[in-house]
Amino acid sequence: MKRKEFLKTLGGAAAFAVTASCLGGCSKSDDSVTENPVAGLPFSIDLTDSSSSPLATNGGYIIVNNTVVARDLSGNYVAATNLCSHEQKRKVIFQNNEYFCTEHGARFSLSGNGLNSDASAGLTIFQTVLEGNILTISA
Amino acid sequence: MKYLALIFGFVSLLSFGQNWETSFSKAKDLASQQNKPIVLVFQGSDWCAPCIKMDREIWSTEIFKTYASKHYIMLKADFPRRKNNKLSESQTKANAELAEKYNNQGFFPFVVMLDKEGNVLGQRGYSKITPSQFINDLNSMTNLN
Repeated sequence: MKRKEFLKTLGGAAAFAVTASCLGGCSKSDDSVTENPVAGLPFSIDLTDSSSSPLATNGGYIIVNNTVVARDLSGNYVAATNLCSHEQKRKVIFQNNEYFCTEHGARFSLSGNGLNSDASAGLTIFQTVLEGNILTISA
Repeated sequence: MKYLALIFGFVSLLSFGQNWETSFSKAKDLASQQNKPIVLVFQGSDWCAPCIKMDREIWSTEIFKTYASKHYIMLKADFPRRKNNKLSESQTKANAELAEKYNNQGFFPFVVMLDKEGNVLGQRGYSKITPSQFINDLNSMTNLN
């Protein structure tokens, strides 16, 4: 076995850990480069951490790393950028089971579709993967 | 041949390891003595997949390590979850204090560039960029450019 091959086998476990948890989410971010709108992704949060406590309730949300992370009314974890496509304000929150920009009232569905005229450009939605108490958000 | 591979593996693990500080006060002392900024990295080494990705793509690369050894003080705040990776009580407490001060949003990985007094110069999450691009990005937060 050559040294490189040996090192590759060492890296295998880590590589598996990464790919296994990323599922489809990684492919998109792998194609993008520096000044992408999804810089800072993927990231993970610990749902047992006190900073994540709003996510213990359906309809609760937190803003972390320029991302709205919410638990929808069905109990699923969802995430989107907090940057509103209307006038590029970081004012998006989660309200009434949809994303809502507090600046001018743009409303976006859970899938990022605009629900009124200010929201016509849609909202960038991220993928979430839950493993135990760890929620990973990726582009 | 097997043994040779093992020895190679061991030696390369030793030489590949980033020179991480784990004490904030020591990092600040070193930063003052050597007039370097501190790169504080929050990670969950055994549960946070993006952290493992960032370690492979940035921290563990030769380019980054070589550059960092000359220009930065690298400070790690790890938050392992597995029992056998548990840190000492004092280290766990010290890391929690660092998180309270510099990562109160509690997400991982999280990189904070600090000056030698511990003032925040900039913050970053994961990006799919090369080690050189990442170095440039870090340096854009300081006067190293």
